[in-house]
Amino acid sequence: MKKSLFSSFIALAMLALLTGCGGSGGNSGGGGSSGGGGSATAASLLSGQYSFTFSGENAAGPLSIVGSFTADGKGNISAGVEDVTLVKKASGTIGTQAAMTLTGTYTVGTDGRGTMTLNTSSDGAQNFAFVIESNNQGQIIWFDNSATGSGTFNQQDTTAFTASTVNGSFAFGLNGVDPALEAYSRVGQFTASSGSVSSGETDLNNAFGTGGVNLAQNISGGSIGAPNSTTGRGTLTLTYDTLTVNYIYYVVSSSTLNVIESDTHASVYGTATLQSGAPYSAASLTGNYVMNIGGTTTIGGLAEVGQFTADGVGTVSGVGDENNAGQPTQNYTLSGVFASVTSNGRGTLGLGFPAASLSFAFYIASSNTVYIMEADTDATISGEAMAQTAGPYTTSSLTGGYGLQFSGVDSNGIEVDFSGQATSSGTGTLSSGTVDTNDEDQQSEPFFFTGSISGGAYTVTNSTVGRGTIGFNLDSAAFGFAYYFVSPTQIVLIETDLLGQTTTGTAQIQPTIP
Amino acid sequence: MKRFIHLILAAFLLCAASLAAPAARAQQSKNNDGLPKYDKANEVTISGTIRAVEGQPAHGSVPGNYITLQTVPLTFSVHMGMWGAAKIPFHVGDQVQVTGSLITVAGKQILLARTVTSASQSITVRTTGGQALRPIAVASTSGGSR
Repeated sequence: MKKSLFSSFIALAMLALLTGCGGSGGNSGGGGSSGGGGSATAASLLSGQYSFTFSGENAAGPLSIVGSFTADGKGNISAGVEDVTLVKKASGTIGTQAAMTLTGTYTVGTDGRGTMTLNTSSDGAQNFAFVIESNNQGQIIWFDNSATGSGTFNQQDTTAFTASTVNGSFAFGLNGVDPALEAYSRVGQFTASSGSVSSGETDLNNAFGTGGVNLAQNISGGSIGAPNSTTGRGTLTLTYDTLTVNYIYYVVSSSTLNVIESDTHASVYGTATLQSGAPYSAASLTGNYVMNIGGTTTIGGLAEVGQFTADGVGTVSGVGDENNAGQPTQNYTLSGVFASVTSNGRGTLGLGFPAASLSFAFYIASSNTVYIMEADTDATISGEAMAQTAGPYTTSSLTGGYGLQFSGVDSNGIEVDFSGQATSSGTGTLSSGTVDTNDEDQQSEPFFFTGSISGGAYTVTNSTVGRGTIGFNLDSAAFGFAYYFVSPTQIVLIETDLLGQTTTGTAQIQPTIP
Repeated sequence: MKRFIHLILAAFLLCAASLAAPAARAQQSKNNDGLPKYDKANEVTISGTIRAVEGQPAHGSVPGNYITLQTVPLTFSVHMGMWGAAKIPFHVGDQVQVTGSLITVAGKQILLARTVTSASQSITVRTTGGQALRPIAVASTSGGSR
């Protein structure tokens, strides 16, 4: 996303009413209205132990990080640990760094934006910008010239750092790439008890790679170690037919694990969710869902965000928005069928998109979460469907301060990552906002900078399905999104403007910031 | 003399491509996005001169970035995947060799490039399986070579 490119689109700004605070504001980052120094009081919002996931790319290749850090509420990261995998483009191999210890510092501004430096025990400093999205969650982007990428952090429930947490049946979704940079996704389900994995089922999509597409594979065994009582970190091994794969997990809560592959077979990460509501059937897929799926095809990035209603019998219907290699198709009618929902939560789903009919495998994790993955050899598209809180939704449903994050690729194929904060009036305008950006496609360094939102406005186009549009000016560019309410406090975004970018993201209402 | 050899080579490669392409088209299977699949078993290599470096086509065409490749006597639209015009290191007038998969969309041939090579450099646009690859962007190597 070049600034010059953005400038060429300024005439197409959805709302060009500048408030006088637009444009980039240097690379101070994450300081909120306190101007970069942060607020000691606001720093108390980040207090306790958090697990984080991150994916991005540095000069060597794509990297994934999963870990845990402890924030003291005063600006210090007192402890932490992380596991890293990096695909080395030059050699076509995967490097891993296990259990690097962390210390560091952070600031939090009065708008909930902040910066964080994690000093690793063996790989230097990692710099992030972040925004606090809720009392226990935030979004991060890499915020220096050495890499790109984005992720999420969630407060850990340290009382769940016990062996009993990893007993039960878990559904999971993992995404990444293989050593040849071919997309690699896996969804599945396994049952663990007393340190052993007794059974499970999984679907693999490595359509362009040597793994191919392998559906309904048996998980024949494995093991899961008790989590470390301090960090929540543990080991997981799953045997898919004859292939044994090693993972590291971090306990987020008694029902959620963050997971990263720890061997050199593939670089993937994701989450595992304790299943509830089993045994499952078609009736388990009932109600309204917001889906957020995406990946890379032969021609570029593809993202689909939408809302559908599942009838509990075999039909889904709704609306969606698509971004196919930078070309948006908005508010299309979404329809599909699902079948073969087995007692372990696995089913198949066919969805009709504007120019495509995709086949998916899915696993139900709970009434709130379904992991979805494309189940054919055409591409590797994956994501989640999240239960939607019933509407109706109106413009007043978006009121207050929101933490937002969106990431993807720009018109040149370069990753772009944004995290920030915007305040919604509840009457269709955004009164203020500041966004930290990592854009390696700038003409010159620094690639990371901070800008102000201006001219922000939004509508609710369909109060029943909870769809709307939102637009704002940032860094001389007119951004436009379609969005869907997951709940009154959370929306999912997909870019639908003319910038040629393919990004998706979320926004979530922030807590009161001291 | 060198240019003449290039032209002869281009003509030869074009003939080879033309021979291979019908077989590829006959077996062309559709992606679920409505496009023919990248057919790695029937890749072609075509040499020519770049006549244009272009961005997004009009909506309704195959989205993405293109170069226009002039051979003798045909002109190819070469789909450059995620490599935007600003990241393509070649210029109008450059002699390049493109290896990729020929597809036909709405009666028009498009060459899905996997690699593009000139006398001085080569870029990889797609994986060997045909998945679009991002250009390399990160300038600094600090932050871990691992």
